[in-house]
Amino acid sequence: MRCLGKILGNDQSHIAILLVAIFVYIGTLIINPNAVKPCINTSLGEIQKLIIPIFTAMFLGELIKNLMTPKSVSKLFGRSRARNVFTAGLFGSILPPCPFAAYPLISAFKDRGMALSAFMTMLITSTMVEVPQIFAGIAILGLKMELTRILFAFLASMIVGYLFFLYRLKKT
Amino acid sequence: MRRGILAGVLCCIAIFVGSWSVLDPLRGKLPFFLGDNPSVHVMMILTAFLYIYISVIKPQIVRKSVGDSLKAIRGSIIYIIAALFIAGAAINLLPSKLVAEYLGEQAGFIAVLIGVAIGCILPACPFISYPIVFSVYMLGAGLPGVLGMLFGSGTAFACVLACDLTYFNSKIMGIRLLLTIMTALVAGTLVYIVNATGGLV
Repeated sequence: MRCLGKILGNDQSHIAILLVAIFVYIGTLIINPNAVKPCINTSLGEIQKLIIPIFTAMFLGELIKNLMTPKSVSKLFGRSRARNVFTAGLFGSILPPCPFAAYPLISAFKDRGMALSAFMTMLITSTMVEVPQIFAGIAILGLKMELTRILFAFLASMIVGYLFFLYRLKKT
Repeated sequence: MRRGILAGVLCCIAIFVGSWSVLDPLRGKLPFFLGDNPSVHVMMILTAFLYIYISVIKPQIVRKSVGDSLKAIRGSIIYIIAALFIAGAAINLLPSKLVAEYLGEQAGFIAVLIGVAIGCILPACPFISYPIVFSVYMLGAGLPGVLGMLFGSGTAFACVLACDLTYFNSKIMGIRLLLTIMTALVAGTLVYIVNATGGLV
Protein backbone atom coordinates (compact mmCIF):
# COMPACT_ATOMS: atom_id res chain seq x y z
CA MET A 1 0.00 0.00 0.00
CA ARG A 2 2.87 2.34 0.93
CA CYS A 3 4.67 1.37 -2.30
CA LEU A 4 1.51 2.11 -4.32
CA GLY A 5 1.21 5.47 -2.60
CA LYS A 6 4.84 6.23 -3.51
CA ILE A 7 4.20 5.40 -7.19
CA LEU A 8 0.91 7.31 -7.39
CA GLY A 9 2.10 10.33 -5.40
CA ASN A 10 -0.37 12.70 -3.83
CA ASP A 11 -1.29 14.83 -6.84
CA GLN A 12 -5.07 14.42 -7.01
CA SER A 13 -5.29 16.05 -10.44
CA HIS A 14 -2.94 13.51 -12.00
CA ILE A 15 -4.78 10.63 -10.37
CA ALA A 16 -7.82 11.91 -12.32
CA ILE A 17 -5.98 11.00 -15.57
CA LEU A 18 -5.42 7.49 -14.29
CA LEU A 19 -9.09 7.16 -13.36
CA VAL A 20 -10.18 8.50 -16.76
CA ALA A 21 -8.00 5.87 -18.49
CA ILE A 22 -9.45 3.09 -16.31
CA PHE A 23 -13.05 4.25 -16.89
CA VAL A 24 -12.53 4.62 -20.65
CA TYR A 25 -11.27 1.03 -20.91
CA ILE A 26 -13.92 -0.45 -18.58
CA GLY A 27 -16.62 1.49 -20.46
CA THR A 28 -15.30 0.28 -23.81
CA LEU A 29 -15.14 -3.29 -22.50
CA ILE A 30 -18.83 -3.11 -21.54
CA ILE A 31 -20.12 -1.23 -24.61
CA ASN A 32 -17.86 -2.54 -27.38
CA PRO A 33 -15.53 -5.37 -26.22
CA ASN A 34 -14.10 -5.84 -29.73
CA ALA A 35 -12.64 -2.34 -29.68
CA VAL A 36 -10.51 -2.91 -26.55
CA LYS A 37 -7.82 -5.00 -28.23
CA PRO A 38 -7.06 -2.46 -31.02
CA CYS A 39 -7.03 0.31 -28.38
CA ILE A 40 -4.49 -1.60 -26.26
CA ASN A 41 -2.38 -2.46 -29.31
CA THR A 42 -2.29 1.17 -30.45
CA SER A 43 -1.42 2.31 -26.92
CA LEU A 44 1.40 -0.24 -26.60
CA GLY A 45 2.74 0.85 -29.98
CA GLU A 46 2.70 4.50 -28.86
CA ILE A 47 4.40 3.59 -25.56
CA GLN A 48 7.17 1.65 -27.36
CA LYS A 49 7.70 4.54 -29.76
CA LEU A 50 7.54 7.42 -27.28
CA ILE A 51 8.77 6.27 -23.89
CA ILE A 52 12.54 6.64 -24.57
CA PRO A 53 12.15 10.06 -26.28
CA ILE A 54 9.98 11.17 -23.32
CA PHE A 55 12.58 10.03 -20.77
CA THR A 56 15.35 11.74 -22.76
CA ALA A 57 13.29 14.94 -22.81
CA MET A 58 12.85 14.70 -19.04
CA PHE A 59 16.61 14.27 -18.49
CA LEU A 60 17.40 17.24 -20.74
CA GLY A 61 14.67 19.38 -19.14
CA GLU A 62 16.00 18.72 -15.62
CA LEU A 63 19.58 19.53 -16.68
CA ILE A 64 18.52 22.85 -18.24
CA LYS A 65 16.42 23.63 -15.15
CA ASN A 66 19.43 23.06 -12.88
CA LEU A 67 21.74 25.11 -15.08
CA MET A 68 19.44 28.14 -15.08
CA THR A 69 19.47 30.10 -11.86
CA PRO A 70 17.06 32.96 -11.11
CA LYS A 71 20.10 35.17 -10.44
CA SER A 72 21.53 34.65 -13.92
CA VAL A 73 18.21 35.39 -15.60
CA SER A 74 17.26 38.38 -13.43
CA LYS A 75 20.14 40.36 -15.00
CA LEU A 76 17.84 40.83 -17.99
CA PHE A 77 15.54 43.22 -16.16
CA GLY A 78 15.82 46.90 -17.00
CA ARG A 79 14.48 50.10 -15.49
CA SER A 80 11.85 50.96 -18.08
CA ARG A 81 8.41 49.61 -17.06
CA ALA A 82 7.42 48.86 -20.68
CA ARG A 83 10.69 46.97 -21.17
CA ASN A 84 10.05 45.11 -17.94
CA VAL A 85 6.88 43.64 -19.44
CA PHE A 86 8.97 42.19 -22.27
CA THR A 87 11.75 40.91 -20.01
CA ALA A 88 9.19 39.49 -17.57
CA GLY A 89 7.62 37.69 -20.53
CA LEU A 90 11.02 36.33 -21.58
CA PHE A 91 11.83 35.23 -18.03
CA GLY A 92 8.40 33.61 -17.60
CA SER A 93 8.90 31.72 -20.87
CA ILE A 94 12.03 29.95 -19.66
CA LEU A 95 10.74 29.08 -16.20
CA PRO A 96 10.12 25.39 -15.39
CA PRO A 97 6.75 24.30 -16.84
CA CYS A 98 5.44 22.95 -13.54
CA PRO A 99 3.62 25.65 -11.51
CA PHE A 100 4.90 24.11 -8.26
CA ALA A 101 8.45 24.95 -9.40
CA ALA A 102 7.78 28.22 -11.23
CA TYR A 103 5.41 29.99 -8.83
CA PRO A 104 7.85 30.36 -5.90
CA LEU A 105 10.25 32.21 -8.24
CA ILE A 106 7.49 34.45 -9.61
CA SER A 107 6.29 35.08 -6.08
CA ALA A 108 9.84 36.17 -5.12
CA PHE A 109 9.87 38.72 -7.96
CA LYS A 110 6.44 40.00 -6.89
CA ASP A 111 7.67 40.39 -3.31
CA ARG A 112 10.59 42.48 -4.60
CA GLY A 113 8.10 45.04 -5.93
CA MET A 114 7.58 44.01 -9.53
CA ALA A 115 4.84 45.99 -11.37
CA LEU A 116 1.49 44.20 -11.73
CA SER A 117 1.60 44.27 -15.54
CA ALA A 118 5.09 42.67 -15.62
CA PHE A 119 4.07 40.16 -12.96
CA MET A 120 0.94 39.17 -14.89
CA THR A 121 2.93 38.83 -18.13
CA MET A 122 5.34 36.54 -16.31
CA LEU A 123 2.44 34.43 -15.02
CA ILE A 124 0.89 34.22 -18.50
CA THR A 125 4.11 33.21 -20.26
CA SER A 126 5.00 30.73 -17.51
CA THR A 127 1.65 29.00 -18.11
CA MET A 128 1.53 29.33 -21.88
CA VAL A 129 4.94 29.58 -23.54
CA GLU A 130 6.98 27.21 -21.36
CA VAL A 131 10.16 26.91 -23.42
CA PRO A 132 11.47 24.00 -21.24
CA GLN A 133 8.47 22.07 -22.61
CA ILE A 134 10.19 22.25 -26.00
CA PHE A 135 11.81 18.86 -25.41
CA ALA A 136 8.46 17.24 -24.57
CA GLY A 137 6.96 18.96 -27.61
CA ILE A 138 9.72 17.77 -29.95
CA ALA A 139 9.51 14.22 -28.55
CA ILE A 140 5.74 13.96 -28.98
CA LEU A 141 4.54 16.54 -31.51
CA GLY A 142 7.60 17.21 -33.68
CA LEU A 143 9.84 20.24 -34.11
CA LYS A 144 7.64 22.24 -36.49
CA MET A 145 4.50 22.17 -34.38
CA GLU A 146 6.41 22.85 -31.16
CA LEU A 147 8.20 25.89 -32.62
CA THR A 148 4.89 27.18 -34.01
CA ARG A 149 3.33 26.77 -30.54
CA ILE A 150 6.14 28.67 -28.81
CA LEU A 151 6.26 31.47 -31.39
CA PHE A 152 2.52 32.18 -31.40
CA ALA A 153 2.11 31.72 -27.65
CA PHE A 154 4.92 34.23 -26.99
CA LEU A 155 3.51 36.72 -29.52
CA ALA A 156 0.02 36.50 -28.03
CA SER A 157 1.40 36.76 -24.47
CA MET A 158 3.24 39.95 -25.40
CA ILE A 159 0.12 41.43 -27.04
CA VAL A 160 -2.04 40.68 -23.99
CA GLY A 161 0.77 41.74 -21.59
CA TYR A 162 1.15 45.14 -23.27
CA LEU A 163 -2.63 45.63 -23.46
CA PHE A 164 -2.79 44.97 -19.72
CA PHE A 165 0.16 47.36 -19.20
CA LEU A 166 -1.68 50.11 -21.16
CA TYR A 167 -4.89 49.41 -19.24
CA ARG A 168 -3.02 49.77 -15.91
CA LEU A 169 -1.27 52.93 -17.15
CA LYS A 170 -4.62 54.48 -18.08
CA LYS A 171 -6.15 53.47 -14.78
CA THR A 172 -3.41 55.05 -12.62
CA MET B 1 39.84 24.97 -17.27
CA ARG B 2 41.75 23.46 -20.21
CA ARG B 3 39.97 20.14 -19.64
CA GLY B 4 36.61 21.95 -19.81
CA ILE B 5 37.47 23.66 -23.10
CA LEU B 6 38.72 20.40 -24.62
CA ALA B 7 35.56 18.58 -23.45
CA GLY B 8 33.42 21.41 -24.87
CA VAL B 9 35.10 21.27 -28.27
CA LEU B 10 34.94 17.46 -28.44
CA CYS B 11 31.27 17.42 -27.38
CA CYS B 12 30.38 20.08 -29.98
CA ILE B 13 32.10 18.03 -32.71
CA ALA B 14 30.32 14.87 -31.48
CA ILE B 15 26.94 16.69 -31.47
CA PHE B 16 27.45 17.96 -35.03
CA VAL B 17 28.69 14.61 -36.38
CA GLY B 18 25.98 12.67 -34.51
CA SER B 19 23.22 15.05 -35.66
CA TRP B 20 24.42 14.87 -39.24
CA SER B 21 24.48 11.06 -39.15
CA VAL B 22 20.92 10.74 -37.76
CA LEU B 23 19.64 13.34 -40.23
CA ASP B 24 21.30 11.83 -43.30
CA PRO B 25 23.00 8.37 -43.48
CA LEU B 26 21.12 6.81 -40.52
CA ARG B 27 17.75 8.46 -41.23
CA GLY B 28 14.94 5.87 -41.00
CA LYS B 29 17.39 3.11 -40.03
CA LEU B 30 17.31 3.54 -36.25
CA PRO B 31 15.43 1.07 -34.01
CA PHE B 32 11.69 1.81 -33.59
CA PHE B 33 11.95 2.36 -29.81
CA LEU B 34 14.00 5.52 -30.44
CA GLY B 35 10.99 7.06 -32.21
CA ASP B 36 10.70 7.98 -35.89
CA ASN B 37 11.27 11.73 -35.68
CA PRO B 38 14.84 12.84 -36.64
CA SER B 39 14.57 15.96 -34.42
CA VAL B 40 14.04 13.59 -31.46
CA HIS B 41 17.24 11.74 -32.40
CA VAL B 42 19.13 15.04 -32.50
CA MET B 43 17.69 15.86 -29.06
CA MET B 44 18.94 12.49 -27.72
CA ILE B 45 22.46 13.14 -29.01
CA LEU B 46 22.36 16.66 -27.57
CA THR B 47 21.23 15.30 -24.18
CA ALA B 48 23.96 12.64 -24.02
CA PHE B 49 26.81 14.98 -24.90
CA LEU B 50 25.48 17.87 -22.81
CA TYR B 51 25.46 15.51 -19.81
CA ILE B 52 29.03 14.40 -20.65
CA TYR B 53 30.22 18.01 -20.97
CA ILE B 54 28.53 19.22 -17.77
CA SER B 55 29.86 16.16 -15.91
CA VAL B 56 33.37 17.41 -16.75
CA ILE B 57 32.85 21.04 -15.71
CA LYS B 58 30.12 20.80 -13.01
CA PRO B 59 29.70 17.17 -11.88
CA GLN B 60 27.45 18.15 -8.94
CA ILE B 61 24.84 19.58 -11.38
CA VAL B 62 24.83 16.31 -13.34
CA ARG B 63 24.34 14.32 -10.13
CA LYS B 64 21.45 16.59 -9.11
CA SER B 65 19.89 16.52 -12.60
CA VAL B 66 20.05 12.71 -12.80
CA GLY B 67 18.49 12.46 -9.33
CA ASP B 68 15.76 14.98 -10.23
CA SER B 69 15.07 13.25 -13.55
CA LEU B 70 14.73 9.83 -11.93
CA LYS B 71 12.46 11.34 -9.30
CA ALA B 72 10.34 13.00 -12.03
CA ILE B 73 10.18 9.76 -14.02
CA ARG B 74 9.21 7.74 -10.95
CA GLY B 75 6.54 10.30 -10.06
CA SER B 76 4.96 10.55 -13.49
CA ILE B 77 5.58 7.26 -15.31
CA ILE B 78 2.21 5.79 -14.37
CA TYR B 79 0.39 8.95 -15.54
CA ILE B 80 2.38 9.09 -18.80
CA ILE B 81 1.39 5.49 -19.51
CA ALA B 82 -2.24 6.29 -18.57
CA ALA B 83 -2.18 9.29 -20.94
CA LEU B 84 -0.74 7.12 -23.74
CA PHE B 85 -3.53 4.59 -23.10
CA ILE B 86 -6.12 7.40 -23.32
CA ALA B 87 -4.45 8.53 -26.57
CA GLY B 88 -4.61 4.94 -27.92
CA ALA B 89 -8.30 4.73 -27.02
CA ALA B 90 -9.01 8.15 -28.55
CA ILE B 91 -7.38 7.12 -31.86
CA ASN B 92 -9.57 3.99 -32.06
CA LEU B 93 -12.80 5.18 -30.49
CA LEU B 94 -13.28 8.82 -31.54
CA PRO B 95 -14.95 9.02 -34.96
CA SER B 96 -12.54 10.92 -37.21
CA LYS B 97 -15.54 12.49 -38.97
CA LEU B 98 -16.62 14.09 -35.67
CA VAL B 99 -13.10 15.34 -34.89
CA ALA B 100 -12.76 16.78 -38.41
CA GLU B 101 -16.19 18.42 -38.10
CA TYR B 102 -15.38 20.29 -34.88
CA LEU B 103 -11.59 20.61 -34.92
CA GLY B 104 -10.75 20.20 -38.62
CA GLU B 105 -9.81 22.92 -41.08
CA GLN B 106 -13.40 23.11 -42.34
CA ALA B 107 -14.67 24.01 -38.85
CA GLY B 108 -13.04 27.44 -39.28
CA PHE B 109 -12.62 29.67 -36.24
CA ILE B 110 -14.94 27.42 -34.16
CA ALA B 111 -12.05 24.88 -34.08
CA VAL B 112 -9.90 27.41 -32.21
CA LEU B 113 -12.63 28.04 -29.62
CA ILE B 114 -13.30 24.32 -29.12
CA GLY B 115 -9.55 23.59 -29.03
CA VAL B 116 -8.90 26.18 -26.32
CA ALA B 117 -11.92 24.97 -24.31
CA ILE B 118 -10.70 21.34 -24.43
CA GLY B 119 -7.10 22.43 -23.72
CA CYS B 120 -8.15 24.31 -20.57
CA ILE B 121 -9.18 21.11 -18.82
CA LEU B 122 -6.14 19.10 -19.94
CA PRO B 123 -3.29 18.55 -17.44
CA ALA B 124 -0.51 21.15 -17.28
CA CYS B 125 2.19 18.46 -17.57
CA PRO B 126 3.15 18.23 -21.28
CA PHE B 127 4.18 14.58 -20.99
CA ILE B 128 0.57 13.76 -20.07
CA SER B 129 -1.41 16.24 -22.19
CA TYR B 130 0.61 16.20 -25.43
CA PRO B 131 -0.01 12.52 -26.32
CA ILE B 132 -3.77 13.19 -25.99
CA VAL B 133 -3.52 16.31 -28.21
CA PHE B 134 -1.40 14.38 -30.72
CA SER B 135 -3.98 11.59 -30.95
CA VAL B 136 -6.63 14.20 -31.86
CA TYR B 137 -4.26 15.56 -34.53
CA MET B 138 -3.80 12.04 -35.94
CA LEU B 139 -7.60 11.74 -36.22
CA GLY B 140 -7.76 14.67 -38.63
CA ALA B 141 -7.95 17.81 -36.53
CA GLY B 142 -6.57 20.91 -38.25
CA LEU B 143 -3.61 23.01 -37.10
CA PRO B 144 -5.72 25.87 -35.61
CA GLY B 145 -7.75 23.39 -33.51
CA VAL B 146 -4.71 21.42 -32.33
CA LEU B 147 -2.66 24.53 -31.55
CA GLY B 148 -5.73 25.96 -29.76
CA MET B 149 -5.65 22.84 -27.55
CA LEU B 150 -1.92 23.32 -26.94
CA PHE B 151 -2.34 27.03 -26.11
CA GLY B 152 -5.16 26.30 -23.71
CA SER B 153 -3.40 23.27 -22.22
CA GLY B 154 -3.27 23.47 -18.44
CA THR B 155 -4.53 27.06 -18.08
CA ALA B 156 -7.49 26.05 -15.89
CA PHE B 157 -6.11 22.76 -14.59
CA ALA B 158 -6.60 22.03 -10.90
CA CYS B 159 -2.91 22.10 -9.88
CA VAL B 160 -2.33 25.51 -11.56
CA LEU B 161 -5.41 26.95 -9.84
CA ALA B 162 -4.24 25.44 -6.53
CA CYS B 163 -0.82 27.11 -6.99
CA ASP B 164 -2.52 30.45 -7.79
CA LEU B 165 -4.38 30.26 -4.50
CA THR B 166 -1.41 28.95 -2.51
CA TYR B 167 1.15 31.54 -3.62
CA PHE B 168 -1.17 34.47 -4.40
CA ASN B 169 -4.92 35.00 -3.93
CA SER B 170 -8.28 34.54 -5.63
CA LYS B 171 -8.10 37.99 -7.27
CA ILE B 172 -4.78 37.18 -8.95
CA MET B 173 -6.11 33.74 -9.89
CA GLY B 174 -9.12 35.38 -11.58
CA ILE B 175 -6.99 37.91 -13.51
CA ARG B 176 -4.46 35.21 -14.48
CA LEU B 177 -7.21 32.91 -15.70
CA LEU B 178 -8.88 35.67 -17.72
CA LEU B 179 -5.60 36.84 -19.27
CA THR B 180 -4.31 33.34 -20.11
CA ILE B 181 -7.59 32.35 -21.77
CA MET B 182 -7.49 35.67 -23.67
CA THR B 183 -3.88 34.92 -24.69
CA ALA B 184 -4.82 31.42 -25.84
CA LEU B 185 -7.63 32.88 -27.95
CA VAL B 186 -5.36 35.61 -29.40
CA ALA B 187 -2.68 32.99 -30.22
CA GLY B 188 -5.33 30.70 -31.76
CA THR B 189 -6.71 33.60 -33.82
CA LEU B 190 -3.21 34.47 -35.07
CA VAL B 191 -2.62 30.82 -36.06
CA TYR B 192 -6.04 30.73 -37.77
CA ILE B 193 -5.27 33.89 -39.79
CA VAL B 194 -1.75 32.76 -40.76
CA ASN B 195 -3.03 29.27 -41.63
CA ALA B 196 -5.89 30.70 -43.73
CA THR B 197 -3.37 32.70 -45.77
CA GLY B 198 -1.30 29.55 -46.34
CA GLY B 199 1.56 30.60 -44.04
CA LEU B 200 1.64 27.41 -41.98
CA VAL B 201 1.55 24.83 -44.77
